[in-house]
Amino acid sequence: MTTAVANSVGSYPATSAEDLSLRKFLVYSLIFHVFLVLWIAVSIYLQMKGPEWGGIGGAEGSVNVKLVGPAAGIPMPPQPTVTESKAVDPTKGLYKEDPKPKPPEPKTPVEKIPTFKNEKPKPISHPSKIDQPKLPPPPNAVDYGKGGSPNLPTSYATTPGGGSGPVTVNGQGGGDFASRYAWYIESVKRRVSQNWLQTTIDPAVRAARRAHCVMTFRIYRDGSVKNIQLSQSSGNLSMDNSAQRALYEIQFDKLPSDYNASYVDVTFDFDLSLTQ
Amino acid sequence: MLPKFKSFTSLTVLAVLSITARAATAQEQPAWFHIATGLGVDRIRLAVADFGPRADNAKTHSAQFTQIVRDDLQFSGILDLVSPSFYPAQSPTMPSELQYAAWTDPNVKAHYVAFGNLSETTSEVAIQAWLYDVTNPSSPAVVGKIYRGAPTDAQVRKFAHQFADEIISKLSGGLPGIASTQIAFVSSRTGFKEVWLMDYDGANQHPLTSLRTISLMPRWSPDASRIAFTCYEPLNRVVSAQICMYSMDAGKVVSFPRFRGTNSAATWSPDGTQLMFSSSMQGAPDLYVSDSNGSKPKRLTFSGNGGATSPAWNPKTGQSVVFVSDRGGIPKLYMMNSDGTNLAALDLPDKGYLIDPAWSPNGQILAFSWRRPDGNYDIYVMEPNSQHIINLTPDSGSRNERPSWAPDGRHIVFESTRTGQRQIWTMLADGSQAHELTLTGHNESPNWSPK
Repeated sequence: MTTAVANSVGSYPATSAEDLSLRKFLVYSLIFHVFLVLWIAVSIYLQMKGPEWGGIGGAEGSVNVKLVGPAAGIPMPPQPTVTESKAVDPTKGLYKEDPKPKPPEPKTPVEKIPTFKNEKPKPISHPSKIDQPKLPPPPNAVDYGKGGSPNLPTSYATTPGGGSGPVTVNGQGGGDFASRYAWYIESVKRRVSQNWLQTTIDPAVRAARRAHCVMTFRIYRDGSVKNIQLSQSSGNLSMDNSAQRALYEIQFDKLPSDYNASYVDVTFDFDLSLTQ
Repeated sequence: MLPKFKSFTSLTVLAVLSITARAATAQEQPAWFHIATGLGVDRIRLAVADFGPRADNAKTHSAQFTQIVRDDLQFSGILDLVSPSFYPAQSPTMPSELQYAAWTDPNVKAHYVAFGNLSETTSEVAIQAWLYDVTNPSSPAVVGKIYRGAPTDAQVRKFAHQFADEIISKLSGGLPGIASTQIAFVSSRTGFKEVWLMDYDGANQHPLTSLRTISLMPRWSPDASRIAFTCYEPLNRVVSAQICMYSMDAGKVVSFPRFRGTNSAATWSPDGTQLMFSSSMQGAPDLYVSDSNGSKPKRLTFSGNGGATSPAWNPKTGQSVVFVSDRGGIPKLYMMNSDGTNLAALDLPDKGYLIDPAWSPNGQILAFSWRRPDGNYDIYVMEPNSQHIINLTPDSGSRNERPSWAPDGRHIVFESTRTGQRQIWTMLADGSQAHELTLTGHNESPNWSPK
């Protein structure tokens, strides 16, 4: 028995020589350490993450949001709807459902200044007029409204330049601009007048020669125009529109190079009573 | 060293800051002014004093310069040139010599005076040129320029055009002058119809193409780098009308794809990326649009029995196209969107042939030639919105056709038979100041360069 034991003891190392190698335990320990590292990593992560979203409390400075009703944009299951039970209608499945009406399209923003983009001609209700060019006026002709001072508003004169040009000036530096750069003011007037298509005004208003509206705008150093506003309406839409169109997308010459400020403000009277 | 350098830079920054601050305080308050219109706009009275030669060798060029500036300004249509016979005896050549009173004298009554001087060496001409507002002695120079270049007639002519353009742009409120523009046209002077080019005043006429076949209907690209035209180039002894392309940069005809059938009357989109032309590649002549290199042609119109040709693309909006079609029996104008939708006829009273539509540069006025039942072809302009029509060439007793607008929107070039032969003419867009530009041979189909 002892022998047997001794034998068995003595034989133990011999029989399990391979088991003596630590490979098995190495694998166990490796697995154990991997789990340990994972556990540490997960616990650190949970530690750093702080309280769960929706948990009580939360970090300082968090925003409290109260939702009344479903928040827009969050897909939620539809509210259960209770419908009356009906007898089955066998014909229903044979036909397509009526198309649902489309949701109304969002309104396009209204353009402030009307353009000529819509060039579809209006239907003719009357034969067009054919104008022959006017004969050139005789050299001594006196234009309408220029014969004498009574027909001229006091603040307007017609000669370019000069202190009393067709210009009303206000503010510091303004007087300087008008006297130094009368040619520039004249050029602005000339350009806008050329752009003003009076044929787009209602014929009745044109014939009455009464309408008068005032536009204000700002010319920047590069000649671009911003802040175009109707500061005094004529009371007639076609007249106001014609004045706005005259300034639409206009680009003047650069401001005089020796003028220091970055812009000039202009008040422009469109006055049909001054028309020839 | 480094800290020293650093303090040095911060010092300069401080200095610069203080300078800008000083400039800001010295800056004028933005001005404000008030204008009224309604009165007919006053015509500018402008005088161009004789430019003074600094030495005898500059005499011919200074006389040439003065004359070209006067012609350009006269032709601009926005001002009256004071006749030189009324000028003061002494012509200023420098701002210090300008006597304001002599020019505002009732005999002269000039508002503005242009003057300057010209000096010349064998290698260079130098021109000093000014424009002053003489009604306003406190006003600084409106224009002050120095031009330097080769002492050739062509260069002096160029400088004169540039000076005139500068004056026109300043006095018209930013509208471009056209003195430096060119006109492409078709001339048969060499025995073949070729595309020719000339300055806007008729100077410097020379052929561009020498295809020795038939070339027609030149059309400038919006950047003025290319000219599309209709050519009859034979391929395998088959002659058919095709779109050809001339490159101003390369100075020659460059390749452009051929299509089946007859292709003609190309016009450019306002951004220059597309071409619209009439083609019979699928049967009847209809309008097609393609990329500017001719690729991806796409059919726009389906005219049925009649064809469609002569498209004119609105240069401002790019959205509408006017073209000629005889689907209704006689050639008439039709308007549609540039994608072919929204087609409508432009119905005018008094039937007749309506052809050659051309949009003004601001896209608001249409010029065309119209053969009314009782007369010859004349040039008309129309505002499509109000359909207000004006005849620009009444009672000329001749054919006036194929209008094309100058980039300033104030001038129109066209062809006319009023001298017996078909020649190129220009006029103001109100029909006045007609000038004949070509005098020899048959010349037709002008197209004004966009810049």
